[in-house]
Amino acid sequence: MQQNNRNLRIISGLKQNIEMIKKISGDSSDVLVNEFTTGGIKCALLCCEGMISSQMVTEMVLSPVTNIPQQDNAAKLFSYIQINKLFSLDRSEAQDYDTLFRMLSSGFAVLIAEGMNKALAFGIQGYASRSIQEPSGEGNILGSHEGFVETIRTNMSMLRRRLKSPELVMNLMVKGSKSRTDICICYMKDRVPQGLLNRIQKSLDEIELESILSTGYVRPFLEKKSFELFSSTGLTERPDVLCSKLIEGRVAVLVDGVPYGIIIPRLFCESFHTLDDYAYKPYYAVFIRWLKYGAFILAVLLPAVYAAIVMYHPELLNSTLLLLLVKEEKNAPLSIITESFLVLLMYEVIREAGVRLPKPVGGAVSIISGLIIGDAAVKSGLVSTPLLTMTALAVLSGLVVPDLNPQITVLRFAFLISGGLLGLFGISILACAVLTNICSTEDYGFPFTAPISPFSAKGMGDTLIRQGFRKMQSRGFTVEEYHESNK
Amino acid sequence: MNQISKAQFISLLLMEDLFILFCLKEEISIITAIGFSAGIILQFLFSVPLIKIYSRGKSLKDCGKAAEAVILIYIIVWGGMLFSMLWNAGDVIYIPYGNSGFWGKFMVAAIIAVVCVYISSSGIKALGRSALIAAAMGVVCLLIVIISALIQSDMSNLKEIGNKSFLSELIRGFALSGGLGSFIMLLGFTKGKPMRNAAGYFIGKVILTLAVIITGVLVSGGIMEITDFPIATAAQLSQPFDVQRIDSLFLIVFSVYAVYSIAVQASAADYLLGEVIPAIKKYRSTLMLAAMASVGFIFSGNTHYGMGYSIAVAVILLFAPVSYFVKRRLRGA
Repeated sequence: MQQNNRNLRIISGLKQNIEMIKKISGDSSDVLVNEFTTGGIKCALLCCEGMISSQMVTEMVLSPVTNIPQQDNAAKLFSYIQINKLFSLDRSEAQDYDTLFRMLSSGFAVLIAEGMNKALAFGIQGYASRSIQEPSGEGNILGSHEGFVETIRTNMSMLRRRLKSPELVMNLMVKGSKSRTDICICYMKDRVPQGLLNRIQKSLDEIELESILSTGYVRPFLEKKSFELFSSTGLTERPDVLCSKLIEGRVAVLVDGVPYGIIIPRLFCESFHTLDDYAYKPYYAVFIRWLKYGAFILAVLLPAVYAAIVMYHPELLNSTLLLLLVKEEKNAPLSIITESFLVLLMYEVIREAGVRLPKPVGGAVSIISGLIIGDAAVKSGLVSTPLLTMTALAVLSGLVVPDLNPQITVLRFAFLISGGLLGLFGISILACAVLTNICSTEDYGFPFTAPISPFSAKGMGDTLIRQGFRKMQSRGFTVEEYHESNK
Repeated sequence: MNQISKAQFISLLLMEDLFILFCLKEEISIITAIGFSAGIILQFLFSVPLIKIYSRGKSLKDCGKAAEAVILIYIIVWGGMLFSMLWNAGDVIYIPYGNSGFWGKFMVAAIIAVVCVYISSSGIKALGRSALIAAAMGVVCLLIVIISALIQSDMSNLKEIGNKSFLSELIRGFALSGGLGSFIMLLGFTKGKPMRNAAGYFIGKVILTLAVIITGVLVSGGIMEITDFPIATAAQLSQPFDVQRIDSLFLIVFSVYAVYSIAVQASAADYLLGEVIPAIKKYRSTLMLAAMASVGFIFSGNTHYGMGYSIAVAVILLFAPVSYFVKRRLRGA
């Protein structure tokens, strides 16, 4: 019933209008209705408490609106306001209650008048929001230290500040029948493949959720339905990173209330790139990049390969190392696979506790578990030192590529089980399945594994190595190069 | 079906050819390397009529359903042979629990079959892309194995010719067709000029065959009479350092190539089954792998590839072009 009322056109009678607004809002305490007379016409100014700036509403709306000369009717009053009064730069009109409530909830002050079946809205947002801070999860040494915030307008302004080109287009839309969340599609109109843009728009049109509270609500609609281990859309909390992706012809989606931007499409190799790569000398950037590739492989495979070699393939070790491991493992009461599994599981428990607990307690938990429990486990002989070293090294390596942490965590366990049960054979077989899954990830015609497979020699300039800017500027790369139709 | 690149096409097929070489039973010599290379050149010559048809923009569909059905049967039989090779190689390659009799071998084959079902059902594009990466990694591992094996090599082994003649080795090389069934099918779905793609594949096949067989001869030549699997044995003798062996690295290459060899057959058979019997829409990969495994069980004792197999290869390469020309002639009449 209320949903039906919301779609109704605004009633012209002021009293009935206010009654209807109260009825739709359930007489909610935060919907403020201020009735007054101006220009000889009875009016009401509506706003949502906490969503507007009280200073702005006084200076920009209430003060000028009371100084309007006598008008013949409400239509002339609205016309006078629109022509002669500049209450706000962000002005709009509402013809129905649905729009009216969306305006109210977005920090607009809404003016209704006796005998007028529409409302005027003035953007005077002034809600409390977090100020721009350094991104927490995407550390950077030599680049900007600004990260996205929860307010979509601020995020849009951060992009505009970095890309002053008129080719940057930002289209706002509203999604979520209850949350009425603002979603912004950003792209460079001279770079973006039109097909990609249309298909993303189509994917977003499929969203029929009641609420959108994080990027996780939107991403499944932008990705393929089939099971994919890795995500073909990326996330960033850095406006500079997002801008670099937009220039490459990608599309970004910003969601109000979330300090992250979604990048479409994302490639596997991009998980190993950081903005600092482009600030350092190429030789150092290449070294760091290869370090990350190596760290990823270590993070996923090290515990599994350790278990496989010690249990089934000791011939791969030299005799000194073999004797050392045998001596240590002989004293451990559990089998290597059980030991590894439990240590990894314990790490995940500690990590989760550290993340979820309040920060001061979380830090203490990490110290207690890391130092005290770890030390006690080794000293008591429950866990062997080499195994603990391998596990710690794998975990640490995983932190080098934070983008892929969820996948690394799950794959590490899966490989450990396969390696522990079937040795290197098990690891190889699982690797084939995982590799195929990664290679089958493809959204909007952009293979996730490009430019490695399908191979692009040009793409290697910023994948295996990092070319200097002189070479890169002459290349004029756009993501369209990796589209399946161009291979 | 989607298209794959030339590199993906070559990777898919060469992995299968390498797997067949790994599983090679019977003794080898320098004559084997020459005979096999000649056999591969002969395979190329036999496939020229089909390549010409593809070059005219035609596909396997234009050769008729009978041709598709014959190739499908060949792929199923060859897939079975691959299972049989895997089964037999289980005697010499160490896989945990895989060497413990029938059930151990059965478990290994079943695990590979399950993974192949997943891989082949992911589509030819995913298969091609992953094959390219797997092949590249495999080649790196293989190079390490070959270099390590060469440390143990003895050049005098090249003089040991054995009792095989050039002709018998040519026939054996021709009969060990590798992925010719999937070659016929995949060539039509590969971007670029068919002749260049095919030539690239056959050149790569000759180079790899020569490299692997000569390495095998150099390392295992002295113990050829007592070894069942000369290439696998050569890999197992790889020892880069005094106290360290790396034959487990060969196990990785062997496992990965086994999976892709069978998966590409399953994928090709899946597609052809859909063409021949369109009514079967679901579980085609599973069905085809089950058929291949059954054929493999029947052929599990077979290790010799002689004249019969060579004739089958010749027939398979010529059947589609002949069928195409007959169809065209009948239409013209």
